[in-house]
Amino acid sequence: MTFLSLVLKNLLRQRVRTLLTVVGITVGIATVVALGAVTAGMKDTADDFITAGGAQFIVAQKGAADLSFSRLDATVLPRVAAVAGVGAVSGVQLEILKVGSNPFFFLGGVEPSMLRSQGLDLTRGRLPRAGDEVVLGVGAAADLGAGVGSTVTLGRTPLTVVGVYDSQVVWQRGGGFAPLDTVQRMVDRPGIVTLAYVTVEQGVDPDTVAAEVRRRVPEVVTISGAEEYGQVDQGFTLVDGASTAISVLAILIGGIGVMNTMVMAIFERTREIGVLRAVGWPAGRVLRMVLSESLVLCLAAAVLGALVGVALVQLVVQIPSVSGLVLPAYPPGVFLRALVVALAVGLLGAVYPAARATRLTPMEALRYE
Amino acid sequence: MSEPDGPIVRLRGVTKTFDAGRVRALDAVDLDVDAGDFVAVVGPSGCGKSTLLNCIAALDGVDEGEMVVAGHDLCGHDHLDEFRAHDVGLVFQLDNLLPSFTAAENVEVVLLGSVPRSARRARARELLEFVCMGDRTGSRPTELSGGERQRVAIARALANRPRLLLADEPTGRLDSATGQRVLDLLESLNTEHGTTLMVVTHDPQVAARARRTVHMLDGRVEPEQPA
Ligand SMILES: Nc1ncnc2c1ncn2[C@@H]1O[C@H](COP(=O)(O)OP(=O)(O)O)[C@@H](O)[C@H]1O
Ligand SMILES: [Mg+2]
Repeated sequence: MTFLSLVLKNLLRQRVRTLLTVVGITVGIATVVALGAVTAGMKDTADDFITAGGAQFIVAQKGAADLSFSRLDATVLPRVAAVAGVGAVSGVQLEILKVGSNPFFFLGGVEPSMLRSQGLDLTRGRLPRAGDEVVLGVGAAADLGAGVGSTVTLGRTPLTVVGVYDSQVVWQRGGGFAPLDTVQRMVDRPGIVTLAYVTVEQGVDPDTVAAEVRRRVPEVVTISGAEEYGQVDQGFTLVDGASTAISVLAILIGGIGVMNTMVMAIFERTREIGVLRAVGWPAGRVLRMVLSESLVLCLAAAVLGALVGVALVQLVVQIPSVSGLVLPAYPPGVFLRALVVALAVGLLGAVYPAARATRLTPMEALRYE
Repeated sequence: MSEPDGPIVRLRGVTKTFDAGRVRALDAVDLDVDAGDFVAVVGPSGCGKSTLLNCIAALDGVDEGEMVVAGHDLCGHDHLDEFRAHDVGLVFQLDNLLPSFTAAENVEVVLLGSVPRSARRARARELLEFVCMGDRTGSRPTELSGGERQRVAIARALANRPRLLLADEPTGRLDSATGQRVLDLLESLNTEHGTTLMVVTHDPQVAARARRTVHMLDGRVEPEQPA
């Protein structure tokens, strides 16, 4: 017999209770992992979006509830370009259209000269040069059954497909790019862009330049990373906040569940603990036993929860309308958070029963009815 | 840390009350037990025999008095865990075995955290063989008879090789033949290994085997007649 086998044996004495507790925590951990993967995916998408085309940051309309609602008129971009340290400013008109089965078809209107630097991996055809030409992501091309030379109708405008590209960025795979003035004409907003990519001159600090842009052009925000994305995307902030809130809730609910299980287990075994103390177990060892039982319970749930969470996310992204929107990501932080939540739950659940198990003298514990 | 020639148990004016002082379970008890002795503690039910044993085993604190057992000042709360782990063995009236563990595990559990794994296993086997339970090491308490359980409990009490073994009515629930065997076992510990033995009992047969009998009444130890 080892300390671990003692702990496991104790847990297996009430199989059903242990199992139900593990299931409860598993659900919580799975939620934490699933939300974490989605949030991480959104952050990646946002980061990809910001750094597309080699830009250091983007500028968008200050106070826009969503990036797609941002409007910058033509007079703003030259003022941004005039700020010291700014290299190139390239406006992008971003439209979300319902095309085929994809309700989130991202159509980017970009200066044809800037398209080359978008990091698109052209697999067939060429990039649009002017007029009613469009290049489609592989996902969109497959979805629309389109290839080089075919005509697709985006919104109400027929466009000629001149190329197909591959991309790791989920909204780029499922979307397409056309020349800026074409898109502006399609949506009847000449001279208006959604946002602009800003490249800074070599050797200057992008953060300093971004700060200067905000000072000189107060009607814009600058976004250089996913953390700043919340300024123009309430949904982003919402998901991030919900993810944290649910993690906290998972800790509380899971903690109470574990505490309930551990309290029952320890109360039932009060006499046994008295025996262990009587034969020389120090209080610290009893404490370690109770804590270990709780932690083993929660770590088992952490492993299960991580598996269930990943499975859940992978299942949900099979739905076409979801797969066009988020590509979940699994950075170590997602699992680390799950582990931390599980450990917190385990510790929280064990504190009271452990304290109570060691508070009694061996005699009091032995006489416990 | 202990003096080999002096008494292994030395109580002076030990008083233990329950229920906020309404019950005086031990009332100014003075008692010396020499190392290597075999002492029977007798007296009517409720006179404080179990309380006396429990206090000597450091399972509970006392209200007043001095208690030095195997060199430990128990009233000074002088490392009670270590005292319990190394110096004293305890056989309860009920065997108090852990129900989900095998006989061997019940013995090993005492040594968990203080003795390496292989040594734990070897000692458990050796002790169970000593109490003639060598062929039942894998049995759980529910699969054993009362006498067998009590023998496992004795093996457990001996796991830490105590110099002082305390037993609270170890034969109280056993038929007389089984009780005799358990007693033989305890007696052999005393005669062959020099273990100091204190046995609480109602049974005159047990008292007859002891070298010394301590009579208790109403929480007091009666003066002993010189033999
Ligand atoms: N934990 C306790 N709480 C209250 N009273 C107790 C407790 N333990 C023992 N007593 C009382 O102390 C007295 C001595 O008990 P005990 O030592 O068990 O007697 P014995 O073992 O000689 O039958 C009894 O009156 C008993 O009711
Ligand atoms: Mg008693």
